[in-house]
Amino acid sequence: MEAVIKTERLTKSYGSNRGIVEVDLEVRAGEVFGFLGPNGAGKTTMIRTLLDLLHPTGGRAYVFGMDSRARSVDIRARVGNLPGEYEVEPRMTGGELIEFYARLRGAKDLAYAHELAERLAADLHRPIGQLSRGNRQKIGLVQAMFHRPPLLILDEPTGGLDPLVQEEFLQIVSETRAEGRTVFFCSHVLSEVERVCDRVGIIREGRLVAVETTNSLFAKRYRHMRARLADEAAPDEFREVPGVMAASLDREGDLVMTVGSDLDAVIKQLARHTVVELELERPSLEEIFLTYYGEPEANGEESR
Amino acid sequence: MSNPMSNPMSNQIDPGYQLPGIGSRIAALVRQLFVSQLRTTLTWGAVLGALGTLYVLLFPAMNENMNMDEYLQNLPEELKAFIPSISGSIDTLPGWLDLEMFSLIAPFSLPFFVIIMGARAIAGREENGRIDLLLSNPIPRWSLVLATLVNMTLALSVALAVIGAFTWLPTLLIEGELGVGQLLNGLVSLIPFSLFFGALALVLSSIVRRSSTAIALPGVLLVAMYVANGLGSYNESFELVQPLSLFHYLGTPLQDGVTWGFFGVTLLLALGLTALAAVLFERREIHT
Repeated sequence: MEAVIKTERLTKSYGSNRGIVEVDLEVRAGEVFGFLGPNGAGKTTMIRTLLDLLHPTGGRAYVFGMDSRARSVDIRARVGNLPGEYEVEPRMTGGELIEFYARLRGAKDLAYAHELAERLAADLHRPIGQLSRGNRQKIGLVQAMFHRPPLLILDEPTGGLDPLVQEEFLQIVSETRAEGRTVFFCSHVLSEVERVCDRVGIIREGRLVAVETTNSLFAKRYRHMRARLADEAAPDEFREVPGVMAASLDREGDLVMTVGSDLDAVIKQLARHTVVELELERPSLEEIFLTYYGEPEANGEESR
Repeated sequence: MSNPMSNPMSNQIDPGYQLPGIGSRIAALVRQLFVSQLRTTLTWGAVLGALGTLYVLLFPAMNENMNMDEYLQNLPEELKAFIPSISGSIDTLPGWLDLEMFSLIAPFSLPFFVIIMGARAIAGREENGRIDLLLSNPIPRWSLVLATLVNMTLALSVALAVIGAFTWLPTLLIEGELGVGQLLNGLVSLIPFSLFFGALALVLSSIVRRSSTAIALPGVLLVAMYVANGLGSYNESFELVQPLSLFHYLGTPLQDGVTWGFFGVTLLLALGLTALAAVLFERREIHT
């Protein structure tokens, strides 16, 4: 099946500043594709170039096989987009916004819009300018999804949402995939990527550094473990344990370790001691990037 | 709405609904633009209309207590040059309104009404981050430019209708004849005149990313045209630039009717500028 999104050496620079550099990417039909990267890595530039808001300085982008420059309107007819940050006429209510966009798209039945609003607890009756960030985000999600687009592009969609609504939203994304539609999901929140994405692309400093399945990415995950033991432990004892990547004592005498995904051996080794406190912490996405995808460039170039 | 995924293989690139024709999409844009600023439109109309009411109600007192024609003819030439309607009589209500409302107040105010609309259409939306979401919909960029011009025309017509009502109704209370047709001539003649400046703002809005610039430059041109017209009336050095001023052709529409040649040419200029704005907007990037 033809790729829903395909880029060939897609490059966008802002004068001397880079945005994205020679990105070759394929997003397949019916998958939820996570596009991951730290802030400023080039995720938003990629989306804005796909939607023809920005023009490539090199390479090409195709959505549903259509050139992003030549057939932008046809592409946007098939895309629901939630920008990372959006503004609308503040006096307009969410309901008025949806009705306006429905007229532009020829979508006459708004039943799904109301269903989405109910599930996300979105208030369609108050002026958007009076809504909190989270409630505005709900309106943004409804406007992106209400017309059941074949491709959903979501840039940091869960920002400002409370946990219950986040859960409902991730459920809706799963349903979208079940319907055979495609989702391009930009995020830097690992837990939600792990929940819904089939594959992930990692972008750093404007370059696509890896594309892999979500399982493969998370097989690489590790945790920081801090253990306070009643007796004194020797880090060397733990360095030999399978799954332990590093071990040392901190200033307070606590045992600090970096542990791979297999925790069983290290737990058994700890059980030989009297454990007073135990903490496990997941690394940030940025930390994973630095660990697995190289050091950041030192030239301090800006990106958007 | 049909479910686009009922047959995922065949419908993968089907939007899932029948995209309306471009005319319907432009109509949806115009409707939204018009409704969202209707309150502003009515406010402009009411404020300028109130001035119209005031001048109508002042007319009997002015006419009884002074010979206005003689007064005006005795003004210094330099000052008279800046009163385009001086050629007509102001002893009549249409002449009086030509002098106060239709030569000065309305031609200076209404262009700014549409200049602001033109400036906000692109540069303003870009500044306040509202353009990304709008352009995520299946609308060509030129359609936003065209919709803005149509909305300018509609909003201007509504504002002028309010001004007309506020100006005509008080004539029923005073001695002074003002035909509806005469008033319509004055109102209609302001449409292409104002649209020219609005379309110029639209061009600038499609180039620069600051709405203040897109407001300021047409505003400066408006003032420059007024000054050039005035100077050209008594100073030979400025005679050459006087024909470049739109004020030169505005005339005294309440007394002499609409100058249709001027009406048509100005309208064509506004359309040409709108086309230019559409081309420029299609070519440029959107930064938020």
